[in-house]
Amino acid sequence: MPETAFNYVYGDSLLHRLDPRTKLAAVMCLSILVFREESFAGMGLLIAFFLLLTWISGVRLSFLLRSVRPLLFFIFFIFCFQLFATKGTPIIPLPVLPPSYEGLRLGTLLALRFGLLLLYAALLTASTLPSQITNGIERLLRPLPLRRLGVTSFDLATMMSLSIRFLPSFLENAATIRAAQLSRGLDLRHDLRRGTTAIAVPLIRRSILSAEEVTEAMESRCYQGQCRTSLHELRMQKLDWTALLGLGVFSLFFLLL
Amino acid sequence: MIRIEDLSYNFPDGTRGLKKINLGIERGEFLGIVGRNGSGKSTLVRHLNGLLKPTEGKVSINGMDTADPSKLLEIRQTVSMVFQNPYTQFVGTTLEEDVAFGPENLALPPEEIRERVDRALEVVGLENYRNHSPKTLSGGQSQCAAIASALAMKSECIVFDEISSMLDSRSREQVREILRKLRGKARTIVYVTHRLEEVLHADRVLVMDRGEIVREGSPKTVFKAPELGEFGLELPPIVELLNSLEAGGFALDWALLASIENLAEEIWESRWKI
Ligand SMILES: Nc1ncnc2c1ncn2[C@@H]1O[C@H](COP(=O)(O)OP(=O)(O)O)[C@@H](O)[C@H]1O
Ligand SMILES: [Mg+2]
Repeated sequence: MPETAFNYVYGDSLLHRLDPRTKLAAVMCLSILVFREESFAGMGLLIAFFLLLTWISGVRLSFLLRSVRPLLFFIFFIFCFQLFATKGTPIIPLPVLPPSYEGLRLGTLLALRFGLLLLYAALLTASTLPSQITNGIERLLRPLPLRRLGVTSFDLATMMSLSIRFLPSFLENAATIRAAQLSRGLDLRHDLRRGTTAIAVPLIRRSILSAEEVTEAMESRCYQGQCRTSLHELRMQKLDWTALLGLGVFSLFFLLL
Repeated sequence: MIRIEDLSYNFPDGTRGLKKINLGIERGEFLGIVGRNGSGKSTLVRHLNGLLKPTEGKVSINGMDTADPSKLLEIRQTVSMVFQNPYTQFVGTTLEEDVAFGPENLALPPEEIRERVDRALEVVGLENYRNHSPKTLSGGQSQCAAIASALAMKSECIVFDEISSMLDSRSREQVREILRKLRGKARTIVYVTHRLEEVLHADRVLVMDRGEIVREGSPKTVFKAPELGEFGLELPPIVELLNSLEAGGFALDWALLASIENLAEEIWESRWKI
């Protein structure tokens, strides 16, 4: 994953200042709209809305587009699949799998759909600190009776934030070990199975050792997962309620259209 | 404030970790613990906040037994730890969040957390890095962050377990500077290291080997013992110099070790007396 994908961009825009819960709700709501949308006109409107939000956030559009790039191949694959597999009026009369007008329409729609979903998600992560997203999710989950399953919303939030914290180190470790094994003459192309073991075993070993150290550090700092507060305690502002109202009106208008 | 009585510890696999340790640590004391790799230093200090429980014997912190689960939280509020690896003890996604992690676990109100974080960052001189991610901090800065995290717990005692052994010499100096600031603020400090020069100014030094305390006393007396080599320890050159001068009938004040300049000055001045 490139460094720039789904990263936070410092800013003080209206979007940055919204409560993460508001933004999470908005992304969920917009995702539903995007998924339900069958017409190009509606899709156009959702794209326009995305551009409006991007403009408000002050995040560069090119930055958000970069988040989509790693999945471009996947999106293109979906597009081609629809283009050739959908039955209908052929664009070019080929004997097998002719591309159809219906396929073109459906493929474009699906590609737009996935692209737009990723872009809304990228906008969320660009305007919200990872810890704030975690915080928001924790607060949304808190009323659920998770304790009966043996975890607390705090545990889940901590797990999420630790994953965000340590994923880059994990990937870095993987790369280091791979390089080390390659330099010792490991041949990935000829014996993939042995090669995978040669990388996975030290990687897992190292990760477990680090995980033990992380646990000790957390325990030493009184972590118990029962009850915590946060440096950034969340508080819904007038701005949040206004934004949610605005979003509600937009969605309603959209669904009725 | 800390009492260790007849502490022995065996690892789950049966390996003997510690043998019959007896030790008391007074409030406000700066205690240095030295010993070669694998001598049991980390195993010993992990007993001070209940990360490990004695197999035999007893460890009590301000009268609280570390084997009592109901006291564990209070014990960990009394004794904080800073570990060797700067990266694995950095649990936040930003510096400020990392320092806030402990106070958050104590369920303090946000204003109080804010105040503790600001104060701790100021002490270690990282107040301008509060929004940095661990990726953009140097090893030395991350280790200072770990110290700030311990400070934010406002504990009576801080245990430092080889905190400078993974750092380059410049970061090591940075960390030492902070330690100088922390000392003597009615805070108990336990400082574990295998570099003797880092505990020259401790109030008391313990030497560990094979899970036992083999020497104990003021740095001055402990560092004179000729058998330190047997325990895999190396005297800092400056101490060797002082020791051989003394053996030759030319005793100098141990306090001069605080600065090379002063020591040189003293030697220069006293050449007339010889
Ligand atoms: N989990 C474990 N199981 C068995 N033996 C261990 C374990 N952890 C450490 N040891 C052994 O205990 C001894 C003391 O280790 P440690 O306290 O980490 O030493 P130090 O911190 O002085 O370098 C070492 O010989 C080490 O191999
Ligand atoms: Mg150790």
